[in-house]
Amino acid sequence: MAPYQPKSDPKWLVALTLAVALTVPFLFPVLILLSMPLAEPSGGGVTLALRWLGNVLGTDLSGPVAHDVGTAVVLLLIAFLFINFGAIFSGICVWWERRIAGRMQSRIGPNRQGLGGFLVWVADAVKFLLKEDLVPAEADSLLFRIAPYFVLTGFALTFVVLPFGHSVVMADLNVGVFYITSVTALVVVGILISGWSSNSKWALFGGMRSAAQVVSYEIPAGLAVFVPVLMAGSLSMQDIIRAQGAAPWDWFIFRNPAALVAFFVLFTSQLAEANRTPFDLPEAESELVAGYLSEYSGFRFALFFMSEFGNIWVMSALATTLFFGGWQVPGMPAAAISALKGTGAWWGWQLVSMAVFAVKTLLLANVVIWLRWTLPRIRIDQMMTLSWKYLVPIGFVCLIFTLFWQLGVGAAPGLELASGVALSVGALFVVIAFFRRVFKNVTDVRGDAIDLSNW
Amino acid sequence: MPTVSSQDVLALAPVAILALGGIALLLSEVFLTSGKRGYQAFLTVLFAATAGLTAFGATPGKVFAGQATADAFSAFVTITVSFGLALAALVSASWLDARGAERGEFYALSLFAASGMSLLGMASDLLVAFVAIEIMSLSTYALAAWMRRGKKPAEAAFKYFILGAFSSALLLYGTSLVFGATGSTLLSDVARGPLQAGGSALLSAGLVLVAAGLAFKVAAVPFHVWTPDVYEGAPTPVTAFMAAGVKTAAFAILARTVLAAYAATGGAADSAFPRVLAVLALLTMLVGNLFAVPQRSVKRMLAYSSIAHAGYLLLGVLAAGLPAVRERALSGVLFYLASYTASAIGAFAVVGALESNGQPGDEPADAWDLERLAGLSRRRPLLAFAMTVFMLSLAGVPPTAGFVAKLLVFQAAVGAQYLALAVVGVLTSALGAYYYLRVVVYMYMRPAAEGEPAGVTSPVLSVALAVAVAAVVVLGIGSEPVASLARAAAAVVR
Amino acid sequence: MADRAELWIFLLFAIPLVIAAAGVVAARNPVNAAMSLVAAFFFLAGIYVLLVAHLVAFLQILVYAGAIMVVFLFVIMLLQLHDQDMQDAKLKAMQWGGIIGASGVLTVVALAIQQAGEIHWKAVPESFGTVKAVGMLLFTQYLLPFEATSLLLLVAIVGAVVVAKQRI
Repeated sequence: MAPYQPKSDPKWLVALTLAVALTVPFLFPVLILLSMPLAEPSGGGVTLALRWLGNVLGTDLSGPVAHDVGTAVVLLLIAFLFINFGAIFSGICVWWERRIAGRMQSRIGPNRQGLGGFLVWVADAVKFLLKEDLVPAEADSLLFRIAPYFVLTGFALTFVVLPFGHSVVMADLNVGVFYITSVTALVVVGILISGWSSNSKWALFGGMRSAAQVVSYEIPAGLAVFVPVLMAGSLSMQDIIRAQGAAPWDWFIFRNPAALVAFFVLFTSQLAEANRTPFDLPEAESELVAGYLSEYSGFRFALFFMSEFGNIWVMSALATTLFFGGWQVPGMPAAAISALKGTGAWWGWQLVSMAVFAVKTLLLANVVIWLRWTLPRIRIDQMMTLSWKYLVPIGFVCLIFTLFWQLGVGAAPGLELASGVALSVGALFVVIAFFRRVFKNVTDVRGDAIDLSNW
Repeated sequence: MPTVSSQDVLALAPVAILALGGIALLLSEVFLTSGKRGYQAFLTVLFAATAGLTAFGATPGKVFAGQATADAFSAFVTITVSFGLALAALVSASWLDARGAERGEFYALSLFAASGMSLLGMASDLLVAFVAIEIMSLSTYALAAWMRRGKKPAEAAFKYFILGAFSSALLLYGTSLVFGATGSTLLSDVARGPLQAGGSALLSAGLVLVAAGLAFKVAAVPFHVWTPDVYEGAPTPVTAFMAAGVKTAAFAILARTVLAAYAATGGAADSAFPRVLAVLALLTMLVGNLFAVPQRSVKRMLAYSSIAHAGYLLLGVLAAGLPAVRERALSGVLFYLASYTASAIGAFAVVGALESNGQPGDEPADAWDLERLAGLSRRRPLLAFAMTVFMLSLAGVPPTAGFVAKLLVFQAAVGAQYLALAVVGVLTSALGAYYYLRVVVYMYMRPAAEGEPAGVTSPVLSVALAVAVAAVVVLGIGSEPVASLARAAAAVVR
Repeated sequence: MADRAELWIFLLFAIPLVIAAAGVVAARNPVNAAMSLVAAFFFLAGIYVLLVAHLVAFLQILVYAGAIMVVFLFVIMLLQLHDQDMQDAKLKAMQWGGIIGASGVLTVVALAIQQAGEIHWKAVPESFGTVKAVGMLLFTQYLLPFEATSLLLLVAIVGAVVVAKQRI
């Protein structure tokens, strides 16, 4: 009898799958990048496009109405691309999360559809679309139908200011961060309405819990957001990134001890706002069936899930922007960037900045997924205590510390660099210690290399 | 770019002291281990006295880019409010103590309310006025809901809150229209009239809404419907504070607003704005007095009487529209407010002392019936005497403060050619004497009912009543110092 | 071209705003009314954005649509109002009174605005509506109301706690 041979896919196929998983969602930002000249308000991109279109169709399209319609079409196209980025990202994120969950729980996870089960998210989506769209007889049918769109809108609107790269941002509003905080408020309304309109006690409890949770955690999140805002002196997302540097000691998170704390406050609060474990009480399946989702099926259910997983991107991108230097690339100061303008290298630079931003964000997104499969769900009173008795006071302390810190930095500019170097070296040690521990745990269990047999 | 100077900060000192006093009392409750809360009323009195004294010291002038004015007028309002607060705090101490409901929050909210009132006395900007009114109102809403057990107090608190919020909305809407017409919320800019020639209608509409919002606060007819229920349902010391303090502060801003409105709408005595105000004053005097007559409940009667007094005060404000008598009219209004503060708080204090202090909820339906006062002169001669003084003052009988106050206001009204209104004022005052003196008759000429309790007695309450009686009498006999202060205060208001 | 596009966008927000606002008043179900209010706040925010008052627009969404409406919905859902509560004869009279009063005020204000004639708009500086400009105003010209508001909020919190307290 031959010794047991682990079944294994060729390494190159695994690598290809991962590459596809990484590339597919980011095709959309690249498309957006390509369509940016069209959306330039003063660039005349629309005029050129209309002239070309007019030549093709043989009609005159230089009138003002055509111009307006053309602009609207371009804007709609970009909005379409953004929403699809969210949808595809959340789809692939579901697959990735299920794979990770499998590994962390020593089981296999989806591995049938496509290599490593990669196509399972497509299958899921098709399944959702084909399911019957049920509306409970006793439900408030209008609100029940409309609620998922509130959630979706709250999620999709954040992409207006979320940057993807140096120039790839829809609108760099001067209220940037604040805009994100405010539009995500729609999600709460949607959840509350979905819970109430379902006319089911599980859904109602879930909706109530969720609203209480989100409203409570908005406060520490807001306080934590103001720490980098104070350091940058601006609310605009791009300005906050520009105020940071590429090297870790130039990131806000390490430049100010309070910002390090504020990052954890923000991250915790955002986990809670996104209803992610350990804060998934609103849909706690062991108590509430599925919370506000109990009565939903089919496409509407998919919308909820899409925004929930898409939110992983939003929260990670926000943290990257505020604390981790966004798209800053080493060796590319602002002067060097503006020197590139107009050359072919400009497009290359955009891609590089997008890649840097995406890598940072995906690393954070991975942490979100790890947390879900590591931590147990907390109780509702613990959830409230954590917010009101710990995070809110800590947030206030961070805010006040930062005020004084900024005064100190004004007096002694070396302070930021000292803190940046010290904290980033400390963080490096923590990361090294973490990987050593992981490696040790893996070797302790198996005594040999990581088994990829279930891939 | 305007910057904050030390003058700005000093001018706000009374407001800040009152607010800090509120915070101090709130914090003292945190560290309180024993149940003894006797110090709280004294602390309140202390803060009120300090605020009143600092009001004297402010350098006159416009502060905070003209949004507030520190002058003798605002100082007078602050002192009156602080005096009312101190009296009300002493009254509350014994009333709450007897019911085991004394808490730091009560005094803190009173202090916050007083700081709002003091700020309202200074406000010369509709925006500041709105914020100050809200500070004052939110505190009094919460105070009215203190000890809301049983149906009536709950209803009173709820009604007060809803109608108060509605009136604030009117005020805010009016302010926005005024801003639209004049491009500013500063009263000095409003007085300059609309930016564009055609904007006067918009300005008038805005001013009318602002006036309606303020009329709610001073309980002018037809915006008075909340008053009797709220005054009756709220805890008696709170009613006392509400009647005196809110009225004083609201009339202060009303006077400033009306003066600006006169200037903005041309200043003629026969223009629409004074006519509207005249109708308000007439209705308020008539309705307040007529409805007070049939009331058996002393507390409700006092509520209607407070509406009636708002009518007389409105008459004074109306007369102030004419530049010739402006100073006289305004000084009359200020003096009236001071004397009303002493008399009303005193009267409500006596009513509160006679309430049964059993468990709330077993309050009988006739808790404040006239019969409860019967024979008071034999049971509690001093209490009966104090009540008599307050009733005489409210009725406007010499030699009390109320007489001087009414005299000053009616003189000003005559001087401003509002003869008919002045006559109505005198006639309704005579009607008022009927229901005020009826209380005296019950106290002195009716035998006491069986088993009527003697009511609460406490040294603090005695001090408060003695101070109030002294104030009423002193203001009545030796009115000149206060009257001259009021004149000086009125002289600076433009 | 800018003016025309602006008008279109204005109508895009204004017409639904009026419909949603009417829905708040007309809705029989309080939850529907609250949802109409949320919608109205959003369309109003759109008009603020059109006036380049970005900060005000998003403050309004954050505070009203986000925080206050959630509290509204909480209260409505917990109170469980029933339909029969809403069919009082007195209520009907109040509704008519409200309609007459509101349309009266509307007429007066509309006439007054019409009488004001053509309004000469002032050009606003480039920084208008930005966080910085609003902050500058708040901390200089409007410092007093701004600081007084902090006292107001404190009073509101203390008052709410006092009213909510079970035992005094």
